[in-house]
Amino acid sequence: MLKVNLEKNLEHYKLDVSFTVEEELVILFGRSGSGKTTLLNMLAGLLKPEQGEIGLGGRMLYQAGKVDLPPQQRNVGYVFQDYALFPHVTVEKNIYYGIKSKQLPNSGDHLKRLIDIVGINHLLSKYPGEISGGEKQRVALVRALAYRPDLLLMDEPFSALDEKNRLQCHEEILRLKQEWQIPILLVTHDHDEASKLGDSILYMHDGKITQQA
Amino acid sequence: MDLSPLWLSIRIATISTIIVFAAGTFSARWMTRRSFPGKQVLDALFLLPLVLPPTVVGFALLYLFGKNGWIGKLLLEWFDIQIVFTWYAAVIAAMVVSFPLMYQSAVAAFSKYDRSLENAAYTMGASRWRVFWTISFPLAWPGLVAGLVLSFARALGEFGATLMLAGYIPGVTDTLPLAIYFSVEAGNENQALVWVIIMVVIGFTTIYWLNNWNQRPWKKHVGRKR
Repeated sequence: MLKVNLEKNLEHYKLDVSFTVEEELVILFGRSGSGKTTLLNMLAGLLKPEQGEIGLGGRMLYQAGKVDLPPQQRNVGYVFQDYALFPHVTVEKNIYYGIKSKQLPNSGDHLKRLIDIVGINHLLSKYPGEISGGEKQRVALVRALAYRPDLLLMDEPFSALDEKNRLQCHEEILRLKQEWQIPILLVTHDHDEASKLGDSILYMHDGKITQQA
Repeated sequence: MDLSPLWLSIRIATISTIIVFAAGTFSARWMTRRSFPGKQVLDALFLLPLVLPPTVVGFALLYLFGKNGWIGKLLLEWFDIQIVFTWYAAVIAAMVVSFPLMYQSAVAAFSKYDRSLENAAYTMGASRWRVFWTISFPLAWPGLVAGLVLSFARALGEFGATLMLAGYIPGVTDTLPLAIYFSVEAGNENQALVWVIIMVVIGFTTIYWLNNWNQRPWKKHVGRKR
């Protein structure tokens, strides 16, 4: 379970949120600039909050003035809006990047299965610059799940996809959610997507959660 | 014909470039990822040798490394090392004047690619050191090589600061640019012409190679943002 209670002063408003996420998919819904990505970055440890705490499955990731785990120690999977695939290495190396060599024997089977489920076997030897947007999205998803994260963050993962690819990826996310059983936070500003994928929806406006559905 | 000025120049420029490459790369990476009070001032200081006449740089270096200079005095007292009028002085002069070119290229190289690539690596558990060597350095590599080649060429052509700090001592500090000047002054124009041709060939090759390097096909993977 993810427990979040955070405050941070931003340029135009104060971000002040409090919510919990069970082993479910929760949508962060709101217009651009409402603080969604900032919130994800704070959860991942890429941005420092000013007050509050983040608890994840019994671990304290952040507690103002006491605990502030660096991103490396949080074990959080993050699918960035532009996927952030490393352009200079192959898809395979991208996927294996987060797996330490001593973990490899244990992770091998799990990863092969994940690659099968998402259907990117034929892409492993290619470079990110050689694959399509939908394929990049799948690779980014596998990469974020490769090291068995305790929390998955996805920042508008489908915004660059066409309708067909988007629907396919929706199906994949729903399937992985069933299988994975970890808290997933997905940012979108597409209302249909939000209601289709989310177990619940947090509506964000100017750094506050205005409504929960 | 005595080729020693050529070998001396290459030795000085090579040593200077290795140091400048490391210093420029790390300082540029550090400056592009940090914000702190006085950053702009430090940035301006790093680039200052680019706009100052080399004689001014030479004067400042003499002030630091001369027998009574802050650093020169310490080196002499503690290690019995004298910098001025040695080939070390020529290396220091070459380093200072070529550093801005390396630094500038490296800053551009580290600013060019998407920061979320490094962030993604951090979230995957990679240490800062690993992120630097596996993500930042390879992605910045084309720009770093451009800086390396430019600073080598600049170090090779350094005249003013070298003359002030290292002087002209045949067989010790007579680099190519100095050899040209003093050959002409001594009326030995044929000798000077040979050195001039060598310098032009090296300079031309550098620029030509650099232009080609920037269009090499492997860059297609690195040059793309994602």
